[in-house]
Amino acid sequence: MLARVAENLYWMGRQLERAENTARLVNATTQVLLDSPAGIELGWDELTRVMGFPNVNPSSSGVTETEVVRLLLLDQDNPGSIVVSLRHARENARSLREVLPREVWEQLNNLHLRAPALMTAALDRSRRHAALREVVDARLLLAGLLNETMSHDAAFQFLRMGALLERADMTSRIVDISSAVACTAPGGLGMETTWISILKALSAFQMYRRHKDVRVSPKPVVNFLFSDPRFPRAIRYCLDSVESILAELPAPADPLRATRQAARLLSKVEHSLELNDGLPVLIDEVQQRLCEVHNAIHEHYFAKPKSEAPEQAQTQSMADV
Amino acid sequence: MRCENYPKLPFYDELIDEHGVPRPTAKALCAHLEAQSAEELRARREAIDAAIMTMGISFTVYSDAGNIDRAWPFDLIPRIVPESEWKLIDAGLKQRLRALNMFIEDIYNEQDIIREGVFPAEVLEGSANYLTACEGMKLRYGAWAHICGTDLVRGGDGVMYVLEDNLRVPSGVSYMLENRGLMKRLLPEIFADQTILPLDDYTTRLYEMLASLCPRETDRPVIVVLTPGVYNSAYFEHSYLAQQMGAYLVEGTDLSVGSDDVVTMRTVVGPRRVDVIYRRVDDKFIDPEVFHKDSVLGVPGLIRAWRAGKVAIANAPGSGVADDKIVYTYVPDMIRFYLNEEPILPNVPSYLCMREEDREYVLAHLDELVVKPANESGGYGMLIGPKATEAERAEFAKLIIAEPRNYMAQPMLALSTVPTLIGDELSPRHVDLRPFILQGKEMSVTTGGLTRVAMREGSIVVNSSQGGGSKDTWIVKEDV
Repeated sequence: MLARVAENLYWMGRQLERAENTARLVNATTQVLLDSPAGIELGWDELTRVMGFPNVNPSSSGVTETEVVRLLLLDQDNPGSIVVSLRHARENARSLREVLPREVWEQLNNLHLRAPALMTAALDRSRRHAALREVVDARLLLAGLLNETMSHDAAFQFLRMGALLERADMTSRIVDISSAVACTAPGGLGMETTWISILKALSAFQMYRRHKDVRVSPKPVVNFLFSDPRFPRAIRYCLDSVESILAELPAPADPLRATRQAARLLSKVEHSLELNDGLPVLIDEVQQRLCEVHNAIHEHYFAKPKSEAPEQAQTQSMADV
Repeated sequence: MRCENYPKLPFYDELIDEHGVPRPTAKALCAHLEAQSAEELRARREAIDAAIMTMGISFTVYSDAGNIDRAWPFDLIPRIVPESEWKLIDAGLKQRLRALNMFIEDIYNEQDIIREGVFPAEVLEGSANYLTACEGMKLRYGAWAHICGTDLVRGGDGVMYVLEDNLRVPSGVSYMLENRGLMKRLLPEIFADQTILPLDDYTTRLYEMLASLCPRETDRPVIVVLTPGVYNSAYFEHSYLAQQMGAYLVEGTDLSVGSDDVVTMRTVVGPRRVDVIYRRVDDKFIDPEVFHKDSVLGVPGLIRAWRAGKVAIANAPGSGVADDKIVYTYVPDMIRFYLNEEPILPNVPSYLCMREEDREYVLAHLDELVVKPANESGGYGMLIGPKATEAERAEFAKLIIAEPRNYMAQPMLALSTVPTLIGDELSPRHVDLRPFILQGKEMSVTTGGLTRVAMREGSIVVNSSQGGGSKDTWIVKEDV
C-alpha cells in the first residue's frame, strides 16, 4: 500500500472518530447542564479548555453556550469542529475512492453534505440531541459498512488505528471535563448524575453496570473508562487493539514500544485517584503518550525518508494532536 | 409526452425526424415518455440530481472566484444511435486511430510521410507537441496513443464528421459509465422494452490493454493511474478508473526512478516496482528532468525509465504531436498513405491559415467561420465567427496574420440536436459524441460514448467547463 494512502486512511479514521466523539461530548455536557440544580455553574469554557482551543479567552466569563456549541459543531476555522472534521474526512475519502467500498464514500459524502444544516439545527437546545444523535448514528453506519464490506487488510487497519487513537484521546478528554464539572458540585467528585450522563454519552452506562458496578461513583467509572480491556471505548481497549494491529504490520518496533508505554500508564489510574490533582496530571500524561504513539506511526510508515524531502512537513491539520 | 409539440428547427434531430415523427429506434422511448406526467418526470429528475450529489460525481471549474466542485450535469433523455450506423462508426474510429499511431511512430523515426510529400515538414516544425525526447523510440504494437477520445458531430446533412482526436489525456469516460448506471438505477423500465447494448466492460478492457503493455514477464503487473491530484478537474475520473481497475492511484511524489531506471512507488513496506503508468498528467509536466523544471506533478527521470524500456506509459509521451488541429486536417491523407484505405469517417472541411489561399478566404469570411488555435483544448481560445462582435473578429484577424501556423478554420456546423428536458418541456439542444478507442495488443471501441449537450438554447459549446451537460448514449438494435 502507498504510504500516502496509508496516511490518508489513518487521518480519515481520526477525523470521523473526532466528529463522533465531539457530538457525544456536546450531548453529554448539555445533559449534565439540564440535570444541574439551579445555581450550579457549569462552565462552558471548561469544554473549550478540555478540547484545547486556546483561541477562546478562558478568563472571559462571558463565554456563552451558543458560542461554545457553535465553535465545536459549526466553526469553519476550528479544525476540530464537526463540520470541518467531516469535511476533512470526506476530502481524504475522495483521495481514497479506489481503496474504499463505494457505499462508504457515498455515505460519508452524504453525511458531509447534510452536516452544516444538521449542526445549525443543533444550536437550538431542543433539537440538539436529535441532530447530534444523527451524526453519531451516521458514523456508526460507516463503521459498520467498513467492518462488513471492506477486506480487513492493511488499508482497513490503518483506518482503524487512526480511529482507535483518536477515540482513546477523546475518552481521556471526556473524563477530564466530567471530573472538572463534577468538582464544582457540592461534595466534589460525588455528583452521581454527572457521571451517569457521561457514561450514557459514551454508550457505556449499561456495560458499566453489567461489568463493573451497579452503583455509579467516580472512581470505578474513571477506572472503567481508562482500564477496561473489553469495552470498546475504554482507553485500555483502544491501546490493546492498536497493539495487535501493529503486531501484524511490517517492522512495527518503534510504534509498538510507544503503544506499550502508553498502556502501562493506565495502571496508575487507581493510585492517581487517591491524590489531589492526581487525575488531571495523569490525563495530561496519557494524552502526551498518545501523541508519542502518533508520532512513532507517522515517522515509521508515512514520513518520507529524511534525505528525500526534508522540507515536506506534515500537511494535515488537526487540533493539538 | 410532448413529442408532437417538439419544435421543428432546421437541424438534424437524433430522435425526431423532419415530420415530427420519432425515428424507428426512438419509438419505444418516445412512447414511454408520452405515458409520463410532468410530475413523474420531475420526480425522476430530482431523484437523479440527488443521486449525483450523493455519489459525488463532480468536476472542478476553475475561475477567478476560486475552484468550485460542481455536480455533473445530466439530462435524462438519452441520445440514440442505431446499431447499423454504429458498426460503421466503430470501424471508422479504429481505422483512424491505427493510422494516427502509425503516423506518430513514423514521425519520431523514418518520417516516410514527409519524404513522400504527403505531410509538409513545416507543420511539424511549428508543432508545440513534438518532443525530441521521443526520437528513435519504437513502441510495442506500434501503439503510442493507447487511449483516444474522438469527438464526432453530425451536420445538417445528417453525416457524422470527426471534429477532433484527443490523443493526450482524453477525459469523460467515467461520466459515460456513470450516466448509464444512473439511467439503469432510475429508469429501469425503459431498458426492458428494447435491446440497448451494454457498456460495462470498458474498465476491464482498459485494464487488459494496460496489462498488455507490461515490459516484464509477470502475471500480475503493477499498474498505476498517475493523477495531478485531488484539485484537478478530472480527479473524479482518475479515482474512478483506478477503483474500477483495482489499480493504484498515485501522485508524482509517490513515484521515483532509481539509478537502474526502474520506477518504484513508496509503500508502507518500502519501494515497489511499477510496470505500467496510465498517466493523466500532461506531457510537459511528467518529468521535470526533461520538461518543466518546476513541475511538482511529475516524476524526475520518468522519460529515462521509459526510454530504457523499464516502464510503459499510456498514452506515450509525445503522442500529442498528432493531437493538433492542423495535423488533424491531414488524417484522411494518413489513412490513405499508411493503410491504403479510404477514410470511413470524413473530417469537417477545414481551412489552414498557413496556406495563403485558405488564409485569405478565412480572413474574408470570419463572420461565417469557427476559428480554432492549433493546441488548445476544452473550447478555450476559439472564435465563433457568426456569434462574435466586430471587435472580436478584428482581434482574431490580427492573431491569424501574426501566427498563421497556429490557426485553422471550419464552417459553422449545424450541429444535430437531441430533445432535452428544459423545465417540463422537451427542447432541442445541440450535441456532440465522444467515443473512446483503445489500442494495445488489440483494439476496441466503447459501445457508444459520452454525449455532451450544450444546455443553453442555440449554443454549440458542449464543454463541461463552459456550461455543457451530458446524456446517456444508447446503441439500439433495430427490428429486423
